[in-house]
Amino acid sequence: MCDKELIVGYIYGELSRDEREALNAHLAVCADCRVEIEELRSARQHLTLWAPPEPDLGFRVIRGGAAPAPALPRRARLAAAFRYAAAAAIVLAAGAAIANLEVRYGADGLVVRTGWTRGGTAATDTRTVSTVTTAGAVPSSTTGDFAALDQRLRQIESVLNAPAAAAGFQATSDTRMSDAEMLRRVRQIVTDAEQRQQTDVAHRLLDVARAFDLQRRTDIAYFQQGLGQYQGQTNAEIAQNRELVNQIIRAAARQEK
Amino acid sequence: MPSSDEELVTLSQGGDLDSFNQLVLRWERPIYALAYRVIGREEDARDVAQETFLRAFRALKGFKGQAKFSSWLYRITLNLCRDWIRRERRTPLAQAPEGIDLVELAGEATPHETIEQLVGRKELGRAVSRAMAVLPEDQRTAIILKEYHGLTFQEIAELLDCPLSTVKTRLYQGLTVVRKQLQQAGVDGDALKH
Repeated sequence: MCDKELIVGYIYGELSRDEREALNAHLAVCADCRVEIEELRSARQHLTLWAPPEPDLGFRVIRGGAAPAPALPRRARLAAAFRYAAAAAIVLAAGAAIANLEVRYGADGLVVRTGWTRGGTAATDTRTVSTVTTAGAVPSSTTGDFAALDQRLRQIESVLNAPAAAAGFQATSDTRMSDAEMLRRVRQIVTDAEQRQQTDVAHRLLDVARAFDLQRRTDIAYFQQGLGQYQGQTNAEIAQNRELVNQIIRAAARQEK
Repeated sequence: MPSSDEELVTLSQGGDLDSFNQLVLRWERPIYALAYRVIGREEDARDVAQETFLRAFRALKGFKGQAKFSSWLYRITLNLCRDWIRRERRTPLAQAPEGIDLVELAGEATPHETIEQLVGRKELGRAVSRAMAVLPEDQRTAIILKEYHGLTFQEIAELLDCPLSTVKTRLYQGLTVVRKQLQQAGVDGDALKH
């Protein structure tokens, strides 16, 4: 049997010329090694089929003094319906956050934001907070929005949890909507909204185009009419001039006689 | 004309964030793919990738260019993956999606590939991920760096701080195990020809 290191070097094309020639000479007389090399190559071919999923990454570093938005508290018992409803309500705000993971570089430290893509946002947000120092504040409107949203989410959650608890239902991690599903639905909502907006814009453009076309046709008709009148006037003048010339010629002819 | 990694690193070290962001954009997917294949969990791989760039950014001033920037990123990523494996105290396990969405799959089909063939390809991919999950971490990492990131034996040896012969041995043993696992799963050499 061959040297294993030589076999590996052979199938990855990292043998020196001498090593390759030596191994080729061996393979000419060693069926076992030929089979083994063939099987290892086959395994390599299969490895090409293992592809990682395509995530939304978009990491970037942003200069600025702004600290991230305060972290929302962990909602260990968040029901799937509640999360979906919340996501739908904040879809426009969440869309931007979901689209990108964000690394902020402040004057005093680094800040990482991952948006709301994860069910257990607390872990990421906590880490985010831990990397943040006392850099500047979030715009007040953003802070207020988060506070209001947080308050609203709490209210909805309490309403949803009350009957569930009474029925002995416990929302566990198994019952929660998966992050991938959550992300997919939010994206769908964003896409639908964009499509509706695009459709509306298309209709408006169509109306404008129709009005423009109508105006164009009107203008052309008016212009043609005006041109016809002008041509009519011009022809009449020519006829008059021609008649005048004829009269002069005739008068001159009479005088010559 | 795109700048080289080295040029972007130099500019980044001088405080040019755009240059660093170009590096991030260039390397985020390879880094994520490396993390995903090593630890096998999508969300955690994303966290590892994010943390990799954070650490790289923090340590950029100290990067002297003794190794390629990509090798430096790989090293950070692998260290983070190792930390993750120790912290989680569990064997990396490639995620196998539940069920198959044929509609979604149809969008991924190549022009000459039927849905049946595509499903078969996905199944093969899952079989490969399961076979890889069986490997010890050092063998799996060596195969990943070689197969999916195209590093040379020497680069892998430097990255993993081990002798060249060790890298070759890990690759040989790992490939042998993968081959046997695939055979046990009923995947033969002809599967790719269909």
